[in-house]
Amino acid sequence: MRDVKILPPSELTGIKFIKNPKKAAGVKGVTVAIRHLSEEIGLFEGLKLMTKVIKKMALIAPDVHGLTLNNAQSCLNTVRMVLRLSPKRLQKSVLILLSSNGIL
Amino acid sequence: MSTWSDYKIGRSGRITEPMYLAENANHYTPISWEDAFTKIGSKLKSIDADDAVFYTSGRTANETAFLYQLFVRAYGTNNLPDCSNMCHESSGTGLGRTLGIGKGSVTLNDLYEAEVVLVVGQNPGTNHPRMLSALQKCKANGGKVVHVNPLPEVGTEKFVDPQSPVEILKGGTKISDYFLQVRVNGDIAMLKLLAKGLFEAEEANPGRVLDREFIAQYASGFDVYRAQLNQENKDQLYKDCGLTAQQLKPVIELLANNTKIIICWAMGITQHVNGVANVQEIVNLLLLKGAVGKPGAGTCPVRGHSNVQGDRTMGIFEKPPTRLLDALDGRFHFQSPREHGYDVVESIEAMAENKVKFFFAMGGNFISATPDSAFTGKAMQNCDLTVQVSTKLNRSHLVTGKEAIILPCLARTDADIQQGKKQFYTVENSMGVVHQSKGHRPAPSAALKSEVDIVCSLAEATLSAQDTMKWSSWRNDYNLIRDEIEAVIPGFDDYNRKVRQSNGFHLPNGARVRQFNTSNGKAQFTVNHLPQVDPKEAEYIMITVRSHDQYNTTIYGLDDRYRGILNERRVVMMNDEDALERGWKRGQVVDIESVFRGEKRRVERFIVIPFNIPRKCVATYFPECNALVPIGAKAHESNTPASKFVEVNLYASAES
Repeated sequence: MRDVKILPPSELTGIKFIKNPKKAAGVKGVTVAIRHLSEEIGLFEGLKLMTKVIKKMALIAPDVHGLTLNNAQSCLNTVRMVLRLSPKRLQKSVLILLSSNGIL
Repeated sequence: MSTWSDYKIGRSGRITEPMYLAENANHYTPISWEDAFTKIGSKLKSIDADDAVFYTSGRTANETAFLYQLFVRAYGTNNLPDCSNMCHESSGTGLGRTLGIGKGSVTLNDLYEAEVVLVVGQNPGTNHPRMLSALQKCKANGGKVVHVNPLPEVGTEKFVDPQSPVEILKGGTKISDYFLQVRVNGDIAMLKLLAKGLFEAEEANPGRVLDREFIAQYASGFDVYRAQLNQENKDQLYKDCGLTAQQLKPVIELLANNTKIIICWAMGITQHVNGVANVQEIVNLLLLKGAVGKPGAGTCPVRGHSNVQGDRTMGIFEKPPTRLLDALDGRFHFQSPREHGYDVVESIEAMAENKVKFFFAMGGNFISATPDSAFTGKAMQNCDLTVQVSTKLNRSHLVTGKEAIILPCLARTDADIQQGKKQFYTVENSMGVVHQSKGHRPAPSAALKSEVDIVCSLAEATLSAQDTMKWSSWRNDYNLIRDEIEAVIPGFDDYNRKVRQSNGFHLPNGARVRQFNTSNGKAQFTVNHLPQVDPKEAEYIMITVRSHDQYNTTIYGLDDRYRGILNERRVVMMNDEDALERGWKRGQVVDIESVFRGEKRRVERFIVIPFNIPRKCVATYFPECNALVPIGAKAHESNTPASKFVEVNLYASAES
């Protein structure tokens, strides 16, 4: 029999606590979504891909695509929002960056 | 690698070529597709068909699922367990019996239009986040939301729509109007109290609370149900659900004064020994109000995986209906097996008894998703050959049969190009909407195959050639598969055209139009007895929950920020007073031991976090604590693992 561990390791990873949030999603949700998306396939590649998918599939049902698409959609829309609310100086660089990746 | 955490394994990237683990070897080595299929085909041809098990993850799209079940039945078995066995099987069983269809009856528009939505045993903020925007819209239209759960969840308290700058600026929408912190498995008691409240309101206002016309015309079993409800002792019901008359009064008033009522639920309802009864009691309450089959009302079992519902529609079912088998036989000219196959729990038990020689997983992470991890792992190791179709590595690639093969496939986000033509898949969501799913991203490796291609190759390597089964044509053009689905599965008329409409199409749903496909054509009231709520063999009842940074078995991160926990998954959330009683503070390290019919299972090193949870209840994360869920603890009739009711004891860890 191979020496494989059936159960995951029991090492603790260094717990930290934060105050329980009082609301879900919002800006914090978006930043977490951006982090996940970046780790999975890279930020701009992910946004580009999800834009295409969302155009076709968005809002058909609450659970169609699970966490990733939901986060991506939130992410995308917030990037757009940030762009709208950004100072002109930042807006220009964000716009160039996003446009060059086919996101906007 | 098996010493790595599931999080670390999952982050090791995409699998880009088929891999083979030889008997007694400790490392996988690359294998050609041809050799892989030859090995699999040879094995399948050498064993009895019922000694093979073919598991399906809910990621599997309609086209793949249809071909897969066709292949498995042409091979000769109904051993088609799927992930639905572990989540909403109780819903399918309960709804099928009472309303004649094992799916929910509502659409998204119904959610928007509802006057009252009860969200029971479900945490949409973490597990179904897109549902929050539907609830938000319901609220904007004047609807009321009641959340029933042992744990308060941030998502149902207040939601800030990240797509709306206005929402962000104004601080979001309060979702729940009422939160009922029910005891674990106190749902039936609570639902009976709500029903009793409705009967009392009806007595006070005859003809204005219950939908007598609906009950008379569309339902049966009312008198027996009412007689049994009358016998229930209110004090016992309050004790069992852990709620007070004061807490329930406003909810009873809401239900009494409104008619458009939806009840949503998830694993908190289904993963109990009495999971089917829980679902049936939900239906009872809706039937009293005639809240089925009209706009803004109905049943809403909220599913997780993108096509778990569609897979069942396509025939991924160990207990297939005769009409499906007859249709397959007629279309493809073979004799499909009629004996029921193994579900997930039965598959594991059969593996443990050395009755399964071959295990095939179309996606998923079987070892991590299933209960009783150590038992399941050992059972899996009894198989001669295990095969996994996967995109990324997970623990199921490490805990295998004597030989193992990994077949890497395209993800649904990858462009699927066959014979130079881009293909798309179709999936069915919880609302019964079938729509397209098309990948756009270039595949990470040219060596990857689509799931359809893998099934076709598997069939070609295993089955004798038959004119009716056009594997090579289906592999190259998924439109042809959809034509076959249209010919076999009801509700898919004009499939290829309708699914190209922008939002897809709705499948027929009898309950939605008050056509109940039950034994007498009516919706059924049922009598459901009060289940166990107190631990008998141990001190606490444990439920397993998901963290915010995970999706089913996939761990994307170590944070659960909605519960204030970061960088750790080995935690046990425990009532403040219970912790105090033990003299434990936040950070205490404990071992957890479950007890079931005298059997003990133990996991070590979990951090106690005092939490807002009913007394004598504790919550831990899935899949880490699946090891504590006994294989024998499963729902009556549906066999869904009872992961929401595990009797446990806690012990201070030796090192603490």
